Amino acid sequence: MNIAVCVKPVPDPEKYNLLEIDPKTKRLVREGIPTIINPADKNALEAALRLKELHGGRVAVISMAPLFSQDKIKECLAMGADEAYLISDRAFGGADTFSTSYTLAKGLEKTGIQFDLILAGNDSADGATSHVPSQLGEWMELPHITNITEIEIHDGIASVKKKISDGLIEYDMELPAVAGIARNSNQPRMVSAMGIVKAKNKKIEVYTQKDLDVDEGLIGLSGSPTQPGQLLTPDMSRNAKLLQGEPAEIAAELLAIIRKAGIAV
Amino acid sequence: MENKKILIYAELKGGSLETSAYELLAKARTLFPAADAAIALAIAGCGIDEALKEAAVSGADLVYGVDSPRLELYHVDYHAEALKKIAETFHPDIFLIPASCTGEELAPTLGLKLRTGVAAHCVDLQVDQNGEFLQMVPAFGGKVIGEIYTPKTKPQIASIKPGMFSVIRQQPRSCKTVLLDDSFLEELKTKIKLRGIEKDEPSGVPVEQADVVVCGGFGIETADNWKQVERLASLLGGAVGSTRPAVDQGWVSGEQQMIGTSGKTVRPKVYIGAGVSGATHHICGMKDSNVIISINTDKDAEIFAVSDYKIVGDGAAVIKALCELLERRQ
Ligand SMILES: Cc1cc2nc3c(=O)[nH]c(=O)nc-3n(C[C@H](O)[C@H](O)[C@H](O)COP(=O)(O)OP(=O)(O)OC[C@H]3O[C@@H](n4cnc5c(N)ncnc54)[C@H](O)[C@@H]3O)c2cc1C
Repeated sequence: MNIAVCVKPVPDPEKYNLLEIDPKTKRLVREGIPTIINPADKNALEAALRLKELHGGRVAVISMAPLFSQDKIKECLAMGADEAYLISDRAFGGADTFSTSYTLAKGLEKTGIQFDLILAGNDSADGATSHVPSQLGEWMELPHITNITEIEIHDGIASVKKKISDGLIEYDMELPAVAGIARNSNQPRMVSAMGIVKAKNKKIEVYTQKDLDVDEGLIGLSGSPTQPGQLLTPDMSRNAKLLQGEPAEIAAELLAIIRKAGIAV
Repeated sequence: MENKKILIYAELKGGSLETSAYELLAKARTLFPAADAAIALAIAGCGIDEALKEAAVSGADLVYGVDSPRLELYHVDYHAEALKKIAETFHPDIFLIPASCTGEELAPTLGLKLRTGVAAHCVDLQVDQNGEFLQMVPAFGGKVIGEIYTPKTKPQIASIKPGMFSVIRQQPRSCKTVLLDDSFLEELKTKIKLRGIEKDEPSGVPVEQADVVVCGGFGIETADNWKQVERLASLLGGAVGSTRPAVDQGWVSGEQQMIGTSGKTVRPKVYIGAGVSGATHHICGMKDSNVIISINTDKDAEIFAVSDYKIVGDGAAVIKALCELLERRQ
């Protein structure tokens, strides 16, 4: 079984409260916010490593990211991935999900590996579109399903459970296939000291634009059908009135507030 | 300038239209107030006669339907193909899709099938001073809102979380209903086979439809305390909401009531948050509530900054006191 896992380094979502927009440049100030591997991508990697333990084969991670993210990619290798591919070129910058998924598809093709399964975190913490897994499947003309909480492989088929609003829906996908793995769907393993040592000998292959057989009209910002305008920080602040007293007194005040808000109790 | 054409994917629930269809219809009507837009609803399901009738008097100008046994349960290939067919028949400028668990997958899939851009989880839709359609999308858990244009390709696809816009009932218009021949679905080859569905136990009032939401966070501390959250929601005729950690603790089963970027968007008359810290990811889903009341032991909790009333104290204790007061009054 050859499994590819798409991963993305993102600013740590636990620190988004600290993000600001520079009033002059209108750009995002993300100073002091560390970069981590997108949480859902770790769930996807964990799912891949478990499938490898059961069925053998190898796990490759692939990422489209700036070169300085090599550290984070190393972390995936230390978790147990066998090899890594980093697609990195200014020409790919500013890509929306349409061109990102196109570029990832081209990167996967370039590896020359016949992947049976391509996993991705269902959504990234920063953009959170959850578009990439489906769009990757469309570019590669493979079956694709997102928001998957469980995945099993047998007889050339991936049996998956997809989260829907009122439960789970089960499908069988013929391999090769693309699966978006839901965040929190498993407990990603910790990186062990042994893992770090082993990762030293694993390769990270870097692809630039000239390495990939890409149509220039489909990459980067200029190849993206969606174009960003301005960034805004919404003002959500309200002027909270402090309620004080014994719980019983507060309860009486709250009841009055709730009634005033139009609730008949 | 020709009138704009807007297509809305109207999802179904038990044979009738989901509330999201009405939310998107109301919003779509406001976009081009001067030039009357042609708004069509797209319905894809099995046995959709009633839904088509309902749609015809919803205030839409057109209704497109695909009725096929293949569409009985959600299947990405069949549903995407049906919607693609409708889009290729109607040629919309704008295509609005609810970002439900299923719409969230259909929107990007259609984006590629129709070779166009998709703006995800829009918190607002506008038309700018140049008459261009402008989509406002949240990033970084809602801390930042970005403007997105789709300048070169049509339709401009936008997905919108259910609950983002209010329902404003529209006057019925003279409406044409077009039922498309569904034979293309019979011919479609798919590598995905539907095996079955496991439904969760319905848990009272859906959180996005309740007038009162009592939301418990990690600060509720114990499963036993959580019962107070449920008790208050029931006494107020509302729904229980939760944060991610409360789900992880198993105090609520599943994510149906989770509020935030990866959960539901709510705008109740009253939101009561107890033991909720106010992470960006959570605030994004409740900030439009009419009245926000928060209880937290930490006087500097972030949630207080977006609240109308704050109580510095134990969440479970305050909730319990309110329950007792309500019970005494009954
Ligand atoms: C990509 C991503 C998406 C996410 N999506 C969501 C989402 O959709 N919804 C969501 O909720 N979270 C989401 N999260 C998680 C989110 O970032 C926060 O971790 C979460 O909202 C915090 O939940 P909490 O407030 O219950 O817990 P905590 O942050 O642990 O806060 C507990 C609060 O309780 C207070 N407290 C402690 N004891 C008491 C007491 N006795 N009485 C009263 N107060 C007390 C504390 O002061 C603290 O403020 C997401 C995270 C990521 C990375």
